[in-house]
Amino acid sequence: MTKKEKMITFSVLGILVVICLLICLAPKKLASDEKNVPVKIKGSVADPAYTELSVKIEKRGEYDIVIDCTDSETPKFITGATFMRGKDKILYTTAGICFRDRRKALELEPGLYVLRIDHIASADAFIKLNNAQYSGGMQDMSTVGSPDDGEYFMSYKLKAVESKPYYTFVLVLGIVLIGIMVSVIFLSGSDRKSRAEEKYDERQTAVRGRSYRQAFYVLLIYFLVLVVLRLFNADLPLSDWTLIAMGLLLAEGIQSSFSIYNDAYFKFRENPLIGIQIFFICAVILGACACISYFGQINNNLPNGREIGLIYLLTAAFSAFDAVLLCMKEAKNKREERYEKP
Amino acid sequence: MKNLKLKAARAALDMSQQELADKVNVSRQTINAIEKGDYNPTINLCIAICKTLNKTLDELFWDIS
Repeated sequence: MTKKEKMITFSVLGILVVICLLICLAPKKLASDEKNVPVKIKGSVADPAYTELSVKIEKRGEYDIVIDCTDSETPKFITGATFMRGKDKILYTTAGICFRDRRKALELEPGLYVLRIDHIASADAFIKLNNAQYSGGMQDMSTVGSPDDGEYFMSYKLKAVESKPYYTFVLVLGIVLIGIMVSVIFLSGSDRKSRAEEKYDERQTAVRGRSYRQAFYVLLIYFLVLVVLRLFNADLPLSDWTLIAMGLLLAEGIQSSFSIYNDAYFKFRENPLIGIQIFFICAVILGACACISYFGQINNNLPNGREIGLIYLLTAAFSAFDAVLLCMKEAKNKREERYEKP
Repeated sequence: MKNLKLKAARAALDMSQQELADKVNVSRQTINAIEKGDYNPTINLCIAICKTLNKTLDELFWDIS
């Protein structure tokens, strides 16, 4: 078996192993209910005013309660969801215009659990319900207007799945691994070497290989740390997707910085000055985006503005760092070139 | 360890790092790294450098000490 055949075989086996592991580790759906409800709005009054879904829990344990509330077009009324044991003991409340896959980990005893979904078509109705059930502040009240009269076809889903808070990170790590192995399969079959030689010289190719390896190890360690933290139910200050985006940014930052530091970021006939300009422009634009997101959140204009702002800010910081690093390397190279002229 | 023999051979031909790099189809930084001893080139690159500088592999890359 040639080296190429071995790499393809190992990659295919690796993909199968990762897929099997992802399936085995996936949280199991233990109970569910769903309903399609046409909601009529007339004069800021919803009909029906609410609808109910229920699940029966057989065994005591920790569950993720997943709530979906969707429509083909965005309804302009607020949907308030209240998850209760029986019909009175409130365990969890949430509200939004349309939401998908909103989840909450809860310790549940065996019994019947009801999800009451209120259709809130006016600010008055929202304030009344907000004060009664949501302890205030679940949803920004300025977004509650008077929806247009009409009929909205809502689709509600309630699922109780096995609670595995670390699974999101395992899933993304699995997808990254599958992506790498698929790339190996495709690149093994193509004339990659000759194309790479046209772009980077042998030292640059080696340096870039090292930088990708380091970025991958950093990503792996970062995700494993997050999985362990989730296993021990650590209270992380950011959402899972923000943490994943931060990990990917960190890995990308390490790859680019390491390549730039070792003069392997640009092909040897490319002009790095263009790269410096691009990095600086990116840093300025992303910094502005971070400010808009952050101040938008303060003014309640954007959902999750702080987290989006953080991602923008981090990307801006990496871009600025790379631009500064490129400037320093370029200055050093110019100095060396002047010194080396015979 | 610095490769002073390569630097001397290049200077003898009045050639800059950039000119040598262009002739052997690598970046100037790679030639600089070889001269500073930070990078061990492949045999293919060694041969290309030797041919460009009209030297043998022993003359440029064999460390007598």
